[in-house]
Amino acid sequence: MKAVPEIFIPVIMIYFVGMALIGWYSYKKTDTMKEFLTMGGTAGALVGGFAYLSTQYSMSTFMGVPGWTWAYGYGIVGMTGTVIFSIWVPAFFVGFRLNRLGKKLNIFSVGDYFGDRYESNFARILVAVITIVFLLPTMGAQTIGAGAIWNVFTDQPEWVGVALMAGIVTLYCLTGGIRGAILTDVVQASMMLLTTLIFLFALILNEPGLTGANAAIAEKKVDFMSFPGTKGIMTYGWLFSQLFLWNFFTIGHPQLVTKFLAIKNTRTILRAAIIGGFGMLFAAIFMETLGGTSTPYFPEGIEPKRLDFVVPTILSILLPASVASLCMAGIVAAGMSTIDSQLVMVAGAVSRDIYQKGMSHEKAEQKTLRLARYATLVFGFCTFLIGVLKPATIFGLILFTWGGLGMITIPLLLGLRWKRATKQGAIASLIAGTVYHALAAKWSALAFGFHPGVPALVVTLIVIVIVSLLTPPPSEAVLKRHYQKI
Amino acid sequence: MSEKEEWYPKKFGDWFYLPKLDSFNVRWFLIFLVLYIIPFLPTKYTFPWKEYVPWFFGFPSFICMNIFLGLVGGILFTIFYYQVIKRGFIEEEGDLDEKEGER
Repeated sequence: MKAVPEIFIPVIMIYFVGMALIGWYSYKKTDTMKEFLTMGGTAGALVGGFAYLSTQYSMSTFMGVPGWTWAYGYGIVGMTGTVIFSIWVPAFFVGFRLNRLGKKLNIFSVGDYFGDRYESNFARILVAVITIVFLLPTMGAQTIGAGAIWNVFTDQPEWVGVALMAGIVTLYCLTGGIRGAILTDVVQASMMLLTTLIFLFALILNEPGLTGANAAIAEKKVDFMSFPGTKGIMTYGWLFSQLFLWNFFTIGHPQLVTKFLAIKNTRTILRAAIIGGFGMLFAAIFMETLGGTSTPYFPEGIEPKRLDFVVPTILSILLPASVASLCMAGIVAAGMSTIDSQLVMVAGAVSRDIYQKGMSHEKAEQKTLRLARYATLVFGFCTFLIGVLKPATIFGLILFTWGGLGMITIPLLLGLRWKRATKQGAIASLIAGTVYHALAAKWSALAFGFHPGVPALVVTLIVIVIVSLLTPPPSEAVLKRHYQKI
Repeated sequence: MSEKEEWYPKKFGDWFYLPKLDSFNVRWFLIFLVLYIIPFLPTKYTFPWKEYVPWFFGFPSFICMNIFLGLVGGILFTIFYYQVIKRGFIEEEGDLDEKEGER
């Protein structure tokens, strides 16, 4: 394909400037840690739903998974109908309760919740460390996508695209905190949905069309059209793992769970779940499916290492340069909207969870806010480095880190729902789950045919139950604070 | 619950802080559970093992089924939302407060 920098660069720059302006607007309203981390708990249904959508859906949905479909077949779409409940499931298990507790107890982050519920600064810091360790590669994965797009559309080195994306996100998170992240998310989610729609019409209107493309695929490789796919990967265990990863592991993902702290109230969460759910269904099902459908439009194929390039390449072939550039801005938006919330989370983990609460600097509000901004800058730079070094493909990185962050799920869920869960149980569970996840990622026999995170989640459950029952119950003050009707 | 009440539960079930198991909650739980189970059913329309069953535009049946299930799920969830609003709470009394000051 031919690079079109003269069209692509102005389009992407207009988009970047727009995001930076939103960051600047948010800066004026962000003067406390509560504002920086939860937007003061004022987000409405549309903002909350779109912010959740755009945080959960990333470069992985728009580049990584379509690349996988392209390589391994349609089976990956096998449970996508259930994404309609992607917000509702975490909302039901933890969101409603966390929303109300957050407002009552001044909880701004998942680490905050662990510190208060388990009366343990160690638990708070442990969650903060897990957040940082697993969110950083996820953020890096997004910038890899930006590098790929930049390279395809300008013929310039990938690191330039990585640097631009990391730089702009860092800038608006640095200034506007989660308000900047959430407000840009709304614009970005709209662009993501528009990109999905354009991709769909591009395939319908160009030869051979959807029916022709599917007929051509079925003729050449019929395995593509069913389970377990062309390489035999997509088995029951695999599909079940995907369902768990995208619907249940998200219960413990700090960047998603904290959206419930930012939303106004429980009624608004329900509305956000409907709005965001339909958006997620639309984006996931079409982007992921059409990645596979585009195979016959692109007969020369693509190297396995460059699977992430499938969508940018096919769009650049099928669409006029200006429209393709707009779509690319939409895909870059998917990545930026994921990084921004994560960046605020890791900055919050260092400043709020480790410094302010973990090291007892309760009153140093302005100093903590400054630290949060410095941390944003440092982690933004780390994101750039990961994007340049490219340790794995986008989807590969996302699968590993999503599983790791999922280890927070059970201690969080049981903390909210089981009064007997203790500090020792939560800490042991977090450590055991994370260690098991790492081991199962290295030795697949320990995963029993599932994603490593699935058996690791079972380990966290067993450990927290056994250790909690063997240790003294939580204090009366905790039970009173956390389990009375609010 | 008043401050003087005992906070350590006496019965096993009281250690759990869960939504009430009334008919409304059980009904909706089962409906949504069914929607989660359907994609895993080993039929040619849901989990076609090495069998291509073309539907709309030649897409395999399970993709069309996923779109259908997603839309049905969304519509059911919208109905659920209106029923919850009518009921006034989702988990417990006062759970759908509109104004922060009411908490």
